[in-house]
Amino acid sequence: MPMTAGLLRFSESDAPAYRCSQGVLSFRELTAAARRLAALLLREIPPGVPVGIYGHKELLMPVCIAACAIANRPYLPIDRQIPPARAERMLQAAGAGLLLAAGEGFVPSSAAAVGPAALAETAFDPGKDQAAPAAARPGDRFYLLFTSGSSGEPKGVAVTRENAASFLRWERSLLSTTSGPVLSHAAYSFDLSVAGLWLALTSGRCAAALESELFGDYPALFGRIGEAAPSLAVLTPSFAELLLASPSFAAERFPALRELLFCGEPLRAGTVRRLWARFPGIRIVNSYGPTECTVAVTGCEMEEWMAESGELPVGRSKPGTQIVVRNPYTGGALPDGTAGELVVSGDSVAPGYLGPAQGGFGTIDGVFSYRTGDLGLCRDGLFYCLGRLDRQIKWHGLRIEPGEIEQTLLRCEGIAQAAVLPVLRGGRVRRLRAFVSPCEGVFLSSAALEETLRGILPAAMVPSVEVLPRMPLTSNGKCDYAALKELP
Amino acid sequence: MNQPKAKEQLLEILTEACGRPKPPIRSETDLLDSGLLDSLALIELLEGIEDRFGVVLEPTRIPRERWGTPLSILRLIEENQG
Repeated sequence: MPMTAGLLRFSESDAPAYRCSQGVLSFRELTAAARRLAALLLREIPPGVPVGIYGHKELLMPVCIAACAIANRPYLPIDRQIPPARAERMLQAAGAGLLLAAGEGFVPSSAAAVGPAALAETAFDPGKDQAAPAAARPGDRFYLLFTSGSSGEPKGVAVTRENAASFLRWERSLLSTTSGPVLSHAAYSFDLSVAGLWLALTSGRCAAALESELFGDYPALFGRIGEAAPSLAVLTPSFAELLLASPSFAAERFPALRELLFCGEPLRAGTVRRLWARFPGIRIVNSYGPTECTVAVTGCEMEEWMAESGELPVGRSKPGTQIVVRNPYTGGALPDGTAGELVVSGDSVAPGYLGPAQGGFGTIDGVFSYRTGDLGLCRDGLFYCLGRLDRQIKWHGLRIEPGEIEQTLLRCEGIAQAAVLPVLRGGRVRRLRAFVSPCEGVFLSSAALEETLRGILPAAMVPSVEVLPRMPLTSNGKCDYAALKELP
Repeated sequence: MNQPKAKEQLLEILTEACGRPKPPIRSETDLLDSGLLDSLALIELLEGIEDRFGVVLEPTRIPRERWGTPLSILRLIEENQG
């Protein structure tokens, strides 16, 4: 199986496989540790039953991920920014049999768990058995990820081994660098991380991870990037803008950096120009795709004429994937140059969501497809993504449904109406504002509501809360978003 | 640098960058431990300082603690002017 075989090719290599604030693991160390944990998983977890992995960027995170791949058990990464209550619901929805905790902060009640100390003991004990890779089929689930759901519950997506292998094969062909460390900032609960971690591990390259506490600390962040000396960075446009805010993010300081792979958010021509100026000759690849279609389904190198035209394409569709631009109301295919909904089919489309509701997954013209909800068009084989057909927003590449936050608020005591709006700055979502109105005679506290939300939603989704005595309504009795937008 | 005017301008920049928090930001407000000055706010702050004061700060040379309060940031700006 490509991912497992790709990784195990390097099991005799002392070259670095993973770097984080705790140190460095070689391929030899990482594969041995992963195989010891895989032996545990093969004993404890029946085939097909998912395994939760909790933590952030610890050395044990890639060990646990690799262990699941070797044992052929689907893994469900849960980043530490996800509050315990939500993590619990994710484990339950996934039917997880076990939680591997690479970091402290969450002890589940709905599944057994192995804490960080016990995990490290098993993984790094030379006396423990190392499992051989378990038999696996292309249709077996590889990982599960949850994305924001507008109805109030996060939606779980199961991606298969074949989906992942198809993506990785194409990603490799899209890039020019074949050696040198791969820098990644994305949390493992965000599928952008797959493009960094699995590319590196199956190519014998070091996966250099960045912890979130580095993001506001420029001396430490740049020090760590310097130590890693990556040749490739896999990142969101927001992260590039964070790096560009320092004048020293340039070739003089990072001479090894030759290539950037973007995904997760619209990439702007201005950002590409600034990067070309700071890193002459650097190769910039833009890509696009929803979590439901395994990281990305379109990609291409950015060229001068694209930056000049102002609107950057998201690229050509990958081999094995077909994208049709369809009228979102009738479903009819639209000609090149006409904007419509991007609908994806082929070997990158995941089998569906966990649970009965299948949302955008379905059969169109006899072909199993995913309706992305993204507005886009195709011109000369290049796709362009123009925005959303609904209220979904991206914040640093993370998908947020304002509806999920609204539904969460409406479940709180005493709330009559709730409306969530993004505050935009420079075309990006800067933060979220929630407006709530109380039920008759109820006193609501902004601070108390924000605190409550912090216990339920991932940090990135917690809005500032403002209490209005009366919610402005449209003639249909719905929250008047246009009026709310005008409020100071 | 006209001190009171500069402080006022900096507080304005910070208020916008940090998303207009309540209670409002004052000279001694803790910006870091409170989480008010997150990475996005820092980018906006750097841009605001460049626009209003003409000072281009190099964040990789500034220890994180120096972003701790508005007064501390004002000192940074002074140190880097002309």
